Amino acid sequence: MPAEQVPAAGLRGERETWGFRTLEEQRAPAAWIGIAIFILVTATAVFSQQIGRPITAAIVYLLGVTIVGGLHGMRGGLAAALAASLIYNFFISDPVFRFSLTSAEELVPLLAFNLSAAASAALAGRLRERAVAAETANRRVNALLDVSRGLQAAAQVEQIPAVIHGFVTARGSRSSELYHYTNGELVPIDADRATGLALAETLLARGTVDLEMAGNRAMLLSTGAGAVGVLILIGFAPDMRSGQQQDLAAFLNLLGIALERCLLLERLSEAELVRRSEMFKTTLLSSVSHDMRTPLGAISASASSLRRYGDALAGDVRADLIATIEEQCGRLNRYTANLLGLVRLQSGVDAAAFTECEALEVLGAAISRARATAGGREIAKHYALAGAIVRADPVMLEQVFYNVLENAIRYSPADTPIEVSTSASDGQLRVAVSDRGPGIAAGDSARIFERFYRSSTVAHQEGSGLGLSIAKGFTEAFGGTIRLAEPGDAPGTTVEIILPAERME
Amino acid sequence: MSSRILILDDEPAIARVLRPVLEATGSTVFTAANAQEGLRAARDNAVNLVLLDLGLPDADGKELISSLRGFGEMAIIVISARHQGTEKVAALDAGADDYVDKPFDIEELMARIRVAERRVAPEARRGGLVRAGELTVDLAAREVRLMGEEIKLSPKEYDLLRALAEHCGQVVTHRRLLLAGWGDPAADPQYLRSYVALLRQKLEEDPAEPRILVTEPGVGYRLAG
Repeated sequence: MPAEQVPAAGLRGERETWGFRTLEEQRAPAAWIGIAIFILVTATAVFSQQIGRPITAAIVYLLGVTIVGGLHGMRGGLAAALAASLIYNFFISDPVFRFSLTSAEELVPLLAFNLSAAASAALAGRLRERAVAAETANRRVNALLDVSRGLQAAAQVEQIPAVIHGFVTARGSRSSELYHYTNGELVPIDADRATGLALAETLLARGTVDLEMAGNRAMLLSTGAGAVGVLILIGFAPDMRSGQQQDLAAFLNLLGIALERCLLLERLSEAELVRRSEMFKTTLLSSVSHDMRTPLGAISASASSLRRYGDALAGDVRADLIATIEEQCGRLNRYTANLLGLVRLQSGVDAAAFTECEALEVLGAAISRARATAGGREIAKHYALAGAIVRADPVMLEQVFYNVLENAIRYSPADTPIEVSTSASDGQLRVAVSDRGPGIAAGDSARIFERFYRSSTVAHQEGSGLGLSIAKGFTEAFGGTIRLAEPGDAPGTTVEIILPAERME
Repeated sequence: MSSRILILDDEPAIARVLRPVLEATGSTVFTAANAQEGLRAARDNAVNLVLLDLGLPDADGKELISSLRGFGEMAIIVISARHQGTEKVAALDAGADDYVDKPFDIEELMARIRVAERRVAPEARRGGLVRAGELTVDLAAREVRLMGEEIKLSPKEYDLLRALAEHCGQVVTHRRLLLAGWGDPAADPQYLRSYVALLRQKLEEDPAEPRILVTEPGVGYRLAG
């Protein structure tokens, strides 16, 4: 936006102020407390003098002056000292009701009193002011440290406004707006709060670092690499005390660095996302071309053999070819089910559609299905539970159990049993599926639930590397976990599925 | 049997494979590739069984089911390539008799067709004896026998078993079972789960892996016919 549109009356140029209510203002006790103490010690001094204790009178008075100095600083202390000297001279010290000195004997104590009063007031006052200044400095440093910690923890630009809000409002501004400056363009971090965009653009157009107009103030945020953004203080109070410029400069530096870091992280993660999505596509394509085409190839070869040479083939060969077609169709079907599962996971599973399921009933259905294709494999059940209600999608839950069972069946010798056990642990349902296969190599155990990953021990066998990753994705969508159990004494693999249960019996 | 079967599927390969098999069992087969043609074919040819693909290009499966039902007594078996529980349940609740997932085994499909035809045959309407493996349910005498031995059931257990037995071999949705047992399709499914568990205790050799009263995850239960 061109600078002419900015109301000229609001232009006051760069200012050096930074609203900050000091501790002195907040903490100094009311003046009446000092006056009350002064009156009290005056009365005590007069009384002491009348009962013939002049030394007590002087000491009480000195004490009073010191206290007032401590409470109200040097100025208050000196005022009290002056008043005390006048009253002491006139009312208390001899001769009473007269400012007169008759002898050197009277002059010395009087002089000593006046000097002591002034000195103690000055000292107490200075002490008070130092303490206040130290506390103020301490608070400023702490405030900067707090905001610095918050800024360092921010990983996304959207988190920054909340971090700086308190710091900014504690210093007299109504609110703030933050803009980042990328590729020559100013972008508000919160699109709903961008009333100061024109001011921010004016600041950049003028090439200045600090600009105030119409009660708002714009400040450039820059790092070694150049301008990274603009901070606008809305409702900035120009009549605030000056003298906090150092805090402001430090704050702006921190803010600039945080903003730059967040923007950099964002760009990095975008690049990482693109890279991963490319990698995923490549792996998916190679999986589809391999795991689709292999069974298709077998089906095609069997069917064409039957068509071309069917009459010449022996009966058992023909039966074998037909069985191959059926088997490979089953394989293709399982593979597409897993591919569909993958798509479901990629597009996000809707937990609102989950219902209460009897998990053991679903497990029973999965075991029946696995048994039907496992060619008489022994599947032994060891149930410590009679029922367990979980929140899930029953079809997806069945696929979790089936995939784990299928994996166990496929990768263990045909003459060994598969064992399925259920138990409750910490209010969760635990379903464990064990086989007596070769087990998982230590280096593979962390990766067997990864998409398309195939353990080195089974690389020569058929399989797409999708089954367990789908089981993991679905289990996690139900709020559960899936993992390899600690290897025990027996050889083989145990996969544990842990699901939060609503009820168990 | 002399069934008149309509294959309503926009995929010609399905009709090509099914037609000769169905004709070999003595059925008369009609085919249609879209809803409009299908409705006309069903009406004009007095078909008594429809194999319906839910993924037709020009119609919503549920509406099609109620239109078909309007033509008179016929069995409808949904053949679905989308393995979504909700879609099957919607089709069954809309009046379909059963469903078969694509890809299917021809034996499984033929078994489902036989069950569906039996159900719409007039002689099977009332009462009769239902067999599911070792289980027999005498609907007229309210008598349940397992391997010849009489099984005592509570009235609620019997109501549920009867609802399943009347559709023996077909899946019955949770809604329909809740309606049969509690008169309210929106009743707490926990009741149903509890009674199914009780029935399995009495009927199944291994209730954890039932063979008679089987679970169709996300859809309902089926009395294996």
